[in-house]
Amino acid sequence: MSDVDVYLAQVRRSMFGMAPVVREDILRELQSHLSEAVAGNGGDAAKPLRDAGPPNLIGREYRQIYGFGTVFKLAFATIAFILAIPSSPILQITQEFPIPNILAIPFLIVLVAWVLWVSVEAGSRAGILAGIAAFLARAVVEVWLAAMPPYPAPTAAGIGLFVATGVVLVLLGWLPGTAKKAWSRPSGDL
Amino acid sequence: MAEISPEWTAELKRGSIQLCLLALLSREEKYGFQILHELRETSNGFFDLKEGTLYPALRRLEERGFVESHWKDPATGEGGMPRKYYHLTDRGRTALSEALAIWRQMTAGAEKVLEGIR
Repeated sequence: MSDVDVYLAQVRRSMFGMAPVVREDILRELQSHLSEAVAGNGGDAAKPLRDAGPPNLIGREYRQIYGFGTVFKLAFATIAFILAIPSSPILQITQEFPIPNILAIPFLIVLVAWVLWVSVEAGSRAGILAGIAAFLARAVVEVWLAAMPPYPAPTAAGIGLFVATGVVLVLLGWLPGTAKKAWSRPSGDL
Repeated sequence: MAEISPEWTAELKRGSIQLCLLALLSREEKYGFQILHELRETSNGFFDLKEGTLYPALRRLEERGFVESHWKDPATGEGGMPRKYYHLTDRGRTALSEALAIWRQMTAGAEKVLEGIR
């Protein structure tokens, strides 16, 4: 394995989670560049690799541009969906749930933290998707409970709280990622 | 010892690098290695970019629709690996002319302020 191969393998690792097509295209371009730079340097890879910069920083830079791939975004949303189910008794249409509140609170905290993390690390689109998945899960639980009599008729306040919680979850998925993108935009960007 | 901080020079470069990239690509399509060299040569070494700066900058321009890219094999007899060529889009041309107008305004203004200073 050549030094260039080792370098490219490190860049590949630091781009973990990105869409494979984008990742391979980036690596192909880097490889093409490095092979030309190494040939121009008499076959010595040391200087071209030094000039190329630390592989983990390169990978991070690209991840900031492209974010995570679709498979990862869907996985993040699925986790949000699963976490939202046991959190359902909190801020829901009715308090009559088979899951006790005391168990639901930690799940709600973890869910909020998860949606925030997804938004910051994977971008606002992934965050919104996770927020919607959480909202959906809570709606599914509601429908499931409605099918199990006796289920008390929802009040207007209950429905309002349910919708508001869902909207907050989606906003939590959107805002941090958008703010991070705006603040981390490289200076001098057109 | 220099009184000017390297950060100030870096800021100046950062502020103009995208304009320079668009300008270079407005003439003809180019690939990364070629852009790196042309930038260095044309600017008398002022824009001596690292690959880790150039390629993400090109990708950002591509993401914003200012440039497009395609893979091309090297010309016969040149050998080597296929290269990724970038060219300006219509949006890129518009962005370039807008940025250029601002740049000219800025440099003209700065020149006026600096007039007479040795």
